[in-house]
Amino acid sequence: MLRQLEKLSLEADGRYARAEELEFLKNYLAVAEQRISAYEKIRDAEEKILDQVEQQLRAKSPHIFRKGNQDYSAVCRRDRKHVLRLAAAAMLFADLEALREGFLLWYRTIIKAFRDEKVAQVTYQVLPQAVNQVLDGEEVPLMQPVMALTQSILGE
Amino acid sequence: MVSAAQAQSKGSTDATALAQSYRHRLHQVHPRRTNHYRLRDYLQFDNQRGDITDWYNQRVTLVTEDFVIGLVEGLEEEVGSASALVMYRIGEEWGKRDAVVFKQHFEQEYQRELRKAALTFILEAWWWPFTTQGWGNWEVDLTEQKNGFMFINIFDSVVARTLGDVGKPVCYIYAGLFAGFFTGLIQKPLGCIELQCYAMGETYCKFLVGKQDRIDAAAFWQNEGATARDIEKRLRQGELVKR
Repeated sequence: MLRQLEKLSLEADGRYARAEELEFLKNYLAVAEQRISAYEKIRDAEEKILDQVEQQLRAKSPHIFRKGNQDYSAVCRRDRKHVLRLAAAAMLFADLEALREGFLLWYRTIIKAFRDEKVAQVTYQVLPQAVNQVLDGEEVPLMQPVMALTQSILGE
Repeated sequence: MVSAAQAQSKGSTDATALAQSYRHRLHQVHPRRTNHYRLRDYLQFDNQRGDITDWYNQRVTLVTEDFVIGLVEGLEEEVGSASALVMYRIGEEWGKRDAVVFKQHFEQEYQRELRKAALTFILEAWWWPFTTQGWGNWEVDLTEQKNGFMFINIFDSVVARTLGDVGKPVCYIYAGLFAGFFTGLIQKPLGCIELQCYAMGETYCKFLVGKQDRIDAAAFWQNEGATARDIEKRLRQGELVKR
């Protein structure tokens, strides 16, 4: 949305924007309140969401956060928190491209570097379900494309 | 678009103090941010000063494909077949210097000694600025690291993409860059050779980095007409040129 606004301000400089050029703004504003509400719910339920994801991951595999003798649960939780915050921001600003280019593509290579692909695959299957539980019916579709993008890039 | 950054070193090790010294506004505000590789995050375009700097205050120049063609063909015009070696040496010196600067940036950014970090993570941290600035995506194969060599695939090499299908390897600056950087990183002399190139009609460029005997063997087999796959197979089987 921010990028589209920036583009519009450049392209419509010195003239009135056409109706079709304002469409994205109308679409955004029509659900802006729901976006803010969803963002606030995720923000307020961050620890709960992370706890739930962790429980589900441990239920699937009790030693999922162990590598050899090392326990990486704190590192994994920190990373999931980071993903969740960026995903919520992407939903708020309706900017999937910034999430993809500014975070997901880089983070995918870091996951690969640490050979965490399998954990990531399960994590980003479970995360959307935990997020959806704190949102209401109108808010879920706003977060869905963000979660789908995250899952497709990090959990492939 | 491709860009080249000029290395500048920093003396202090205090991360926050250094971050505050950066002119890059996003870096000042978020000194600990590690996901800063989107082009508009990584580069700062300063309209007042008329310059572009990267995340680490290094001056950046944007160049066109015409510049790359001019550089390669101009050098060939000047020094003939030695241009390949000149480009390799330019890359090698760049890589050696970049290894020093990278170590400082890495240790400051991640607050850990380079030698204590996982190699795969180090390599991603090193190459991401290159990816952002148009030098292409990469893939590193470290499975033969213990045997003294590794393979690097470059997708979308700026040199090869620009020159097109010319029927021979052209990415000498990349080969030199890898040789110089890895030499600086592990403090042992390493070489690099491009085994296959986008400019030979392949879908991506493949480089061999390793000790000089491996590079010499690969160069010999390549001159004899061996393909990248043949060379890779022979190296993985532990074969070297009989002397």
